[in-house]
Parts: sequence; C-alpha cells; structure tokens
Amino acid sequence: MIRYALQRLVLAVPTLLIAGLLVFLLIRLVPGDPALLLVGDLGDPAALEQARRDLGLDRPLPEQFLRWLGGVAGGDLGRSVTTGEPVLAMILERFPVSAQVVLAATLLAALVAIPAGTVAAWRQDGPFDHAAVGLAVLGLSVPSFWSGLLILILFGVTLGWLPTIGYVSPAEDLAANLAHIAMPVAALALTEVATLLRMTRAATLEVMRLDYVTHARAKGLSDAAVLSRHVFPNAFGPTLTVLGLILGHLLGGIVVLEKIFGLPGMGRLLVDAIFQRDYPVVQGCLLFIAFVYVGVNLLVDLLYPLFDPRVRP
Amino acid sequence: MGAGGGRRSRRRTGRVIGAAVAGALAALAGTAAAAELRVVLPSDIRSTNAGVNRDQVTDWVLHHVVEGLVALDGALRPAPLLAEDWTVSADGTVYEFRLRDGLTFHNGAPVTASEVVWSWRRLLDPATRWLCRSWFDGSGGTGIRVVGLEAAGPGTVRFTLERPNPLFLTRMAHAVCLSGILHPDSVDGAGRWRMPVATGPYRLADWRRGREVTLSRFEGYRPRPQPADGLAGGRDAMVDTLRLMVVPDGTAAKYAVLSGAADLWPAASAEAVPRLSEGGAVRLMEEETADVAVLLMRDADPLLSDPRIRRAVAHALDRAEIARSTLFARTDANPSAVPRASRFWTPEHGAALPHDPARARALLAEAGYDGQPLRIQVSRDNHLYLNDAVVIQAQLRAAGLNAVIETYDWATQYRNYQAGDYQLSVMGFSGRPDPTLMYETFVGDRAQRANVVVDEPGAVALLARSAAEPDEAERKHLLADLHARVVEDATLLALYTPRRLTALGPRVAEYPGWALAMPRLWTVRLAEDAR
Repeated sequence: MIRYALQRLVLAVPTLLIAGLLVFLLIRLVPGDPALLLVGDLGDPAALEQARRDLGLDRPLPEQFLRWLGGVAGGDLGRSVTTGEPVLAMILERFPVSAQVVLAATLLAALVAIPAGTVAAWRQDGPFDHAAVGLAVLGLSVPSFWSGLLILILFGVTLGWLPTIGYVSPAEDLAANLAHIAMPVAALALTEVATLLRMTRAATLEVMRLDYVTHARAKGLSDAAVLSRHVFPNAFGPTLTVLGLILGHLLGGIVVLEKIFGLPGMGRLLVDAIFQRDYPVVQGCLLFIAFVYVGVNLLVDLLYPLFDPRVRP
Repeated sequence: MGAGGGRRSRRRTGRVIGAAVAGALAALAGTAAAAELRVVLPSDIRSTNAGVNRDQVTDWVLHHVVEGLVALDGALRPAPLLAEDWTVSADGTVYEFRLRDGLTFHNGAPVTASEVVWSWRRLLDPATRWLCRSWFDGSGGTGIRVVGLEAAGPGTVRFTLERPNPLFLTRMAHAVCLSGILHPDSVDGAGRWRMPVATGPYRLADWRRGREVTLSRFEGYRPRPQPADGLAGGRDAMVDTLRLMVVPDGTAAKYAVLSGAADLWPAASAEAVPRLSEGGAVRLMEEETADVAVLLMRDADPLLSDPRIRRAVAHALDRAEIARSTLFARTDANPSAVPRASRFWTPEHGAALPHDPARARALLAEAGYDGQPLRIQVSRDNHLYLNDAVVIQAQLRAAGLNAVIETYDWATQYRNYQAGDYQLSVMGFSGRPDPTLMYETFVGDRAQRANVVVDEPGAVALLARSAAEPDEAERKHLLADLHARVVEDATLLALYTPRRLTALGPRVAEYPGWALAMPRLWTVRLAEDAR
C-alpha cells in the first residue's frame, strides 16, 4: 500500500509540472499588462518601464518561467504584482475560507444524498424515489449562483435571519462564522446533493441486481441488514470517487458564490488576480488547486480499496 | 378552539420562532457598534502606502488617514490642509508653507518642518517608487523640477522650483498622488514600508485582507475651523469607527444596503437603482463628477486616417440621446473634456460638430467609404459605457457606418488603449483637478507616448501654453482654443460628464457630495437612533 501511494505521488509530479507550464503560458496569452494596471492612468512612461523592470516582465519568457519554477521548487510562489505580498501566504490565508465552505457543503450533501439515494433505489419507482429523482433533476438544473441569490434574498434580506455580507473566521467566533457561511454552504450543497443522490441511486440499483443480494434476501435477512451489509458497502465505491471529484470541482466552482456572499476565499483571490493580470497569484492559485485536486484524488484512490477489495493493490 | 383559532395560533407560533431565530442569528453574526459606519468597498485596498501602490479604492480609504500640505477644495482648487497658508516669491519659484500649530501624528509626535522635508524627500527618492515623482523631479515633462527642499524654521517648509509653474500646487494637491506627510516611523530602519503614521482624522486600526479595513477616529486630530470643503476645510469626523467592507459583487452590495448590513455604498451600480428605490428606506444621492465619458478614434488606423471619416463619425453622434440613455444616472451632454461644473468651462466648450446624419453620409460618400467595419471597443465590466457603445453603434449605423461592438475585460481594453490598438474606443476617465491635467492625458506627441489620442501640433502647443500660463482668465481662453482644435481634429469626442450614485441606508442622516465624488466619510452624520 505504501509503495502504491509513493508511486502515485511520484506520478503526480509530472502532472503538476504540466499544470504549471500551462497556467504560466495561458495567463500570458490573455491580453493585458500587469504593469499598466499597477501604474494606472497617470500616464507616466518612466513609471511604467520601472514597474515592468520591477516585475521582471522585461525578461524573456523562458527566463521568467524558469525563475518562477525555481521559486516553486523552493516553496516560493513569488509575490503579488498588486499588493507585493508573498503569494503562498495569500493562498494560505484564503484557502481555509474556501476549504471550510467546500468541506461543509460536501459533508452536508453527502449526509443528505447518500441515504436518500440509497432509499430511493431500495424503493425504486415508489413515491420517495420519484420525489428524490425529481428534486435531483431540479437541483442539477439550478446553477448555484442563482440558488445562492434566492437564499440570500430570502434569509438575508426578507427574513433578516443571516448576515448578507462579511466573514468571521472560526478562530475569532465560531458561532458568527457558522452564521456567515450558512448560506453559501446551503447554495453549494444544493447542486451537489443532486449529483451525489443520482450517483448513489444508480450504484445502489446496480448492486441490488447482483446475485449475492438475491441470495442474501433468500436467506431471509431483513431489508436493513441486506442494505447495510451487502448493498451499501459495494455501492459506495463509485460514490466515493464522485465525492473526490466534487471536492476538487467545488474548489473551482465556489468562485461565484464567494463573490456573491463576499467571502474572502481563494476563488475570489483567483478571479480578482485574473482581472488584474496578477500573474504570480494566478499561477500560484491554479497550481495550488491542481495540487489539492491531485491530493484529494490520491486520497480517494487510497481509500477505495477499503470499500472494494477487488481493487486492492 | 376552532380551525381558524388553530391557524392563528400556528401563525403566532411561527412568528415567535422566526423572531427568536432572527434574534439568535443576529447575535451570532454580531451587530454594529452604535457609532460605527459600515461602508461597501467594491474591492480591497492594494496597500497602505499612499501614492506608491494605489488604485481608486486605495485612494478612497487612505485620504481618511493621510493628509498633505494642500488638498483640493470643492471647486478643485488647491487649498491649505496641514499648511496654515503659503507664500510664493515674486519670481514664482519659491513656495514657503507655514504649518498649522498643534498638529500631531497618529503616534502623538508633533508635526514639524523636519517631517515634511523627510516625507517629500522620501517621495522624490526613486527607490520609493512614488507614482507621481516624475511630475516634480523634471523627468515627466510637466515643467516642474524641485531643486530645493528645506526647513525654513520649525514650522515652515521651503520648496524651490527650477522655473515657475502655475500648476505646482494643483499637482501637489492631486487626489491620486496623495503627497502625504508621514512620520518616519511609517518605515522601518531599512526604509521599508510599515504602515502610515500620519495626521488624518482617522487612523488605520485593522486591515483584514480581502475582508475589511477598519479606521478609527484619531482623538488627537485638530480639524481646521472652516466647514468641510472638498478634501480640504474642516475634517471633523463625526463617526467613531469606519468599517469598510469589501463586497465586490454589485448584487451583494445592493442586498447588503437593503438588509441594513451596510450603511453606505459609494459608486453604487445604476442597475441597482430600481430595487434600491423601493420602499424608501434607502436614499440615492446623485453626484456630478469631474469624470468624462469619451469616444476615442485612432487616426493612425487606415480607415480613420481620413479626416472625412472621423468627421462623419462625429456628425453621426447624437450626444443628447447618449446622455439621456445613460441607464439611470441621468446627465447632460458635454462635448468637452472640461466638466460643466469646472470653473474653466465656458460656452465655447459646448461647441461640437453637430448631429447631422445627412452630412455624415455626404462625407462618407466623398471619402469613398465602402462599408468597411468600424470596430468599437468597450469593456463589459462597466455597464455605463457598454450601454453608451450600444447607442453609439445604432447612431453610426443609422448614418451608414458599419459599426460593430467588440467587448473586452477592462485590462484588455486598457492595454489596447495604451498601445493605440483600436479603431474606436468608448471609455471613461476619472476627474482631474485641472483641465490641463485632463487634456495632457489625450494630447501630445505620439512618438513619445503611444496612447496619445490628439497628436496635432497646434493642440500640443496650446496645451503647453495652458500649463505655463499663470493667469486664470488667459488659461480659460487657451483651454477654449484647445477645445476648438480638438473638435476639428475629431479624434477625441467627449460625450458627457457621468454622475455617480451613492446609496445611503437609514442610519445615515447626512452625507454631502462633491465634485470628485470621492468618499469623504468624515462628513457623514449618523441618524440620532444610530448613534
């Protein structure tokens, strides 16, 4: 198992290298000049040239890339063009905000969707199944930014139950933190509940058609025993894979919700950096997201054999 | 109990539970302190290093913390701020500023001439990277070179210029440059920036990046005895704490004001007007700005190098219609880069090539125009100018021009503007304290600066004369002549002076606007029940 994990870790290095090269090149393909945005509308060519020199933008592209890569290898993602702060520090300050919302939304979605999807499959074509599938289709059809806005209007403006803007970290005040993240978590979870529910239902239905489930029923085991001992463990594998993908996907997808709810997360940091052509921050954020994505999927791969003995290395 | 009674009871129970939940959650989220003003910022500040690493929002915030010797008054004239007054030598090269008595920095240290000299030497040091250094050290073509800077006594500072320049004080007071007077504790031993230890009515209490900036009232502040006047006059802060919350999304900002989570939203988006106007709890304040909305034409473009085509575009425009259709921020057309509210605006600035589609068609026929596409660049980030571009496109098409719109994000449009990589471009420029400073953005020698719009020798000469002329009446004539040249050149078509909206929540009793539409939160007076 350890050898398998190490192999996967080594394989992640070229993935991250390719991701690094792509993000470096892609942001530079977008027209715009960070030095121009830094100097602003003062129209001073000397200040502009000085800013370009300070930012290293006057150097050839391969040299810029190698410098950046060398820094990354040493744990230095560079400094923000706009604020001058170290990029890694900015990411480490913002990532926990996004991670908290994404993890809470994923946990909430899993707690709702996995039991609901299992029961919907167990009672296939019954009223609960129809209701669950209908709601899942609705959930998938509504983009999270729209459901987020509706939640904001209802609970933030009309009822006034939850704060509409701002963020408080859990270290400062846990209760206030929960009040501030409740709406974005709910908006994010709504879409993911739908995805997970459909996945769980489909996997459960597939397992239920297998001979050993029929055999277990023929032995006279109760519904609950068949479901918990024979169906759920075997149906959970594909759901776990989807959970891993969802976690990575949400890190990228939380951007709009962070804007709507004013959360100072990494998604907003990334989008702001793109609009400001803050190359080091864009590169750092995307590389970090790729790193997390690879890490989460590695973790899922390592957990998978616990549920499905067929894939044990 | 009957069925109706049961429903009433359930409703009552529901209301009680709702109120309890609301109360509990409000307690969880925390409520605003009594003398606290919560303000929406559209983005975070870039730094606390005024004039060095800045953008508009950074300026908004730091003007509450950092003050210069002079500042712009309501008429955009330089007025004393930290200076009690100043004298100018007969030859116009020596300025002596006398400091106000009893001023202290945020750390309690007295403000003396030595800190003023230290601050200005730091600004003029290339290592500081002050964005306006070239305006004062002779390298920026402004005609200003500070050759002497010294303390002429404990409370007097002397600036000596190489040559007299009538715009020296105006540039010193420029809101963007923020030539603030700081205590040396603002930097560390190696000269690296720490935080502003300055003299403003508020001091920086906390900056949580990406979240909010908190400013607290400086108890040791000594306001000028005059009433508030632009960025000058009395800055007698009436609110203890300013919580400046970063809310980048316009929809979120709108609901923050509507829900009472924010009290003041400067530069509110025009799209939010209908919703904010409902119910009457939120007031909207419209401010005339010194900004200018323009249509730029690149005469280096093969098609637009023909002045007849450029003039056809100018004749096709109906500025009154464009101004009328500027979303909900109503304004009047203004064909000049000089705002109507400026003391330099004269009736001559109302002159323009008239709206005359028939004349436009005749010019196009004369030039042999054959339906080549004319691309209008505009940023999709600004709905005001995007809306203008749509109206302009319709007007150009009505006159027979094949106008198409290309939308970009602001960074791309700005790069294209700076590189001169466009045919037509619809943009806005933030207000300058003096028309000469606005015209120098557009007029000049393209060989030296690629973003020059009007590269016409007569206009360049008039601009230079307007920058050197000390007599204001004569400058008015020069600027009117310059406007006439710009109209003839037909590369810079000013459209109107945009207005700015500020949304005020019920806790705000009074907040006067002014010409630069830059937030001045020291003028906010809270309602009695909000204090």
